[in-house]
Amino acid sequence: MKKNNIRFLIVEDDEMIRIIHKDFLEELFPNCKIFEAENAAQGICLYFECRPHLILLDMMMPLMGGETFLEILEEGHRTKILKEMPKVVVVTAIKDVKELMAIGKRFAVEAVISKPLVQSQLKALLEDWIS
Amino acid sequence: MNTQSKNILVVEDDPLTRQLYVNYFNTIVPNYNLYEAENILKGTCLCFEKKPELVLLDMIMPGYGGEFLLDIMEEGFSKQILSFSPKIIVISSIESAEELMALTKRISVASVIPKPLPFDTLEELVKLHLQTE
Repeated sequence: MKKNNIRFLIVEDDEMIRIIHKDFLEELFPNCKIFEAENAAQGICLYFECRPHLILLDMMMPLMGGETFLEILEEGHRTKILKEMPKVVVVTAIKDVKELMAIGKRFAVEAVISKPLVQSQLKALLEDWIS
Repeated sequence: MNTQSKNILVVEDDPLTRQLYVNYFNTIVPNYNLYEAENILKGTCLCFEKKPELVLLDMIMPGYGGEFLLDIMEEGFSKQILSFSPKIIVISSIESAEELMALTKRISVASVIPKPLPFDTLEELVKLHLQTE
C-alpha cells in the first residue's frame, strides 16, 4: 500500500472515538482520504462505494455490528465476487480472551486491537503495511 | 432509472424456485444479465458489485432474511452514500396484513408480491419498473 492517496474507512458508533481515529490517521498520513460510518450498514455501503484500503472496525454497534461487516467480506471473497480484500483492523472493547482470539482468527481480520486504542500499536501496524 | 447497467439480481435460497425465476426473466427480458444469490450475504455483495436495476428479493431465508439487504440499502439512501438505486421487488409469504403494510411502506421497496408468485403480476411489475415497453 502506498502512502499517497490511501483510503481509510472508520466504522464506529461513538463520534468522539471516530474523531480521535480520524485525527490520528490524518496526522500520520496527511494525504489520506477518510470515510466514516456510524454502523455496519453504513460501513458496508461506504466500503463498496469507496473501496478503502484499510478499515478500522468496531464490533459492538447499534443497528448492525461489526460481525455482519466481516460476514459480508468473507462471503464476497468465498464466492469470488470481491477481487480484493481490504485490511481490517478490529478495534474492540471485548475483553473475553476466547472471543478476541476467535475474532483474530477470522479470515477477513488482519489484526485486533483492544479499546481504548493504544495509538502506538496501530501506528506500528500501519507503518508496516503502508510505505 | 439507472441506465448504465442491464442487470437483474435474484436472491432466493431455494434452488428450484431460483431457477424458475431466472428462466422467467430470461424469457421476458432476454437483454438483461441475470445474477443469482442463494443467501443474503452473497446477494448484498452482488447488489453492490453489479448495481442491478431490479432485485427480486425473498424475505424469508436461513440466516439473515431479505430485511438485511433492505436495512443496508436504506442506510445508504438516508446518508446519500449509494450511487445506484435498484427497484426492489419483495416476494413474501407473510400473511399478516400489518406486516405486509409495513413492508410496502419501506422506502427501499418498490413492490411486494405474494408467494407463490403470480407470474402475470410479476411481468407487469417488471415492465413497469424497467420501463421495457
